[in-house]
Amino acid sequence: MKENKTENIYEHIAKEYTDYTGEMLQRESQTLPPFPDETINRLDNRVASQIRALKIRRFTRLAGLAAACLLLVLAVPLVNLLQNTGNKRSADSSSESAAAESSAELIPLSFSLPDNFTVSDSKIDNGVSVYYLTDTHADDVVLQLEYTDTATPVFDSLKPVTIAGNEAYGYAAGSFKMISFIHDDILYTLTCKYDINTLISISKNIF
Amino acid sequence: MIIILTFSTASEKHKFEYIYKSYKNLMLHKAYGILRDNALAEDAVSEAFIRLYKNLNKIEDPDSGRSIAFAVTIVKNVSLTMLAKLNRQILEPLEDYQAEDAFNLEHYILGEISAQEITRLVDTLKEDLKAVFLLSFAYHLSHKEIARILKISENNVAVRLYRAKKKLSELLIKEGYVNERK
Repeated sequence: MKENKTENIYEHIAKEYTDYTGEMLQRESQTLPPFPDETINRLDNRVASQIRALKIRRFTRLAGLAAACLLLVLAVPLVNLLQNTGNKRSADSSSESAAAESSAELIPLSFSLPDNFTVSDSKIDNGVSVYYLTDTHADDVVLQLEYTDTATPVFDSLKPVTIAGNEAYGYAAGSFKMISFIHDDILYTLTCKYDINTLISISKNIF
Repeated sequence: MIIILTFSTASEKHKFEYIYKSYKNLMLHKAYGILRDNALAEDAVSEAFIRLYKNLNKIEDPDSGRSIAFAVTIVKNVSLTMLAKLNRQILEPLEDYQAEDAFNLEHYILGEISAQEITRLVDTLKEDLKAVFLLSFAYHLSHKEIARILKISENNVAVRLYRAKKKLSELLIKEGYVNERK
């Protein structure tokens, strides 16, 4: 008989269980038929898009933290410097140009958003311009823009739809709605949680 | 700091891609087995992978049986939660759990028991209890981490863990797999 301390009986049982069922699952996974390509392709796109959004959020948080630290480190000497030189105007103009440089690659929105939307954040992720749109009706949208010379549109697994007489592709399942199309050499991809009409209303303004 | 972050991200990416490619078909089948609908299964697997991505640090060897069991535990839980919502199932009321040390089996020793017998006993637990039990004892996640991964409250985690231990300890004693210390 094996002697066990207080919680170790449960630990032993849980570990044996996961090892044993894990092996069985490994064997089972070798024998299962593959899911239809259509489902797999949609899942691939969907998970990639969600992971990308997560990474952006993580990066934003880290960048914000780094910026705050940097600001703290620089603030005191900068204030002293500005006071000493009295060259405040010059410092302001250089900081404005730095800000302009950092946002130079973001593809600007060439259309007006419906009244219920505001841009809450925007970032560039691997050359993709990402806008976070807050909806007063609580169906927030993530809008991605890519130039078609660098983008690889995947419309195969999406349903063709017509929006304001223009060709677009859509997908809706559960808590994931998506519309994607090309307009003026830009690939637009819009996603939201609840209502495909939320995306259609923005798409109409783009066309 | 940037170098550390870059390495961490690259290794994270590699690990996640491996897990995704290796397990997505199995997870779709497990989700479909519960939800009986392709689109819903896709929803569940997508959500499960996001939760896995957020807990990649809990997966040491992506190729191990333990990692597959971890992924399947998550996707089954997500699928069952979706199913309960679809059926508008009324969840059982959670009674307050009692003394923390209840069912710790501290006065018992474990006898000979095979992996098959252990599997049979653990499989008598309802999936929601089993998930909390395994995440706590096999993967050593804190109540807070379990609450985050299963999207339930910490109190709910404690109650489920209490129920799982209660049920298992009763079975272990009844079937003679543990004996009182002398």
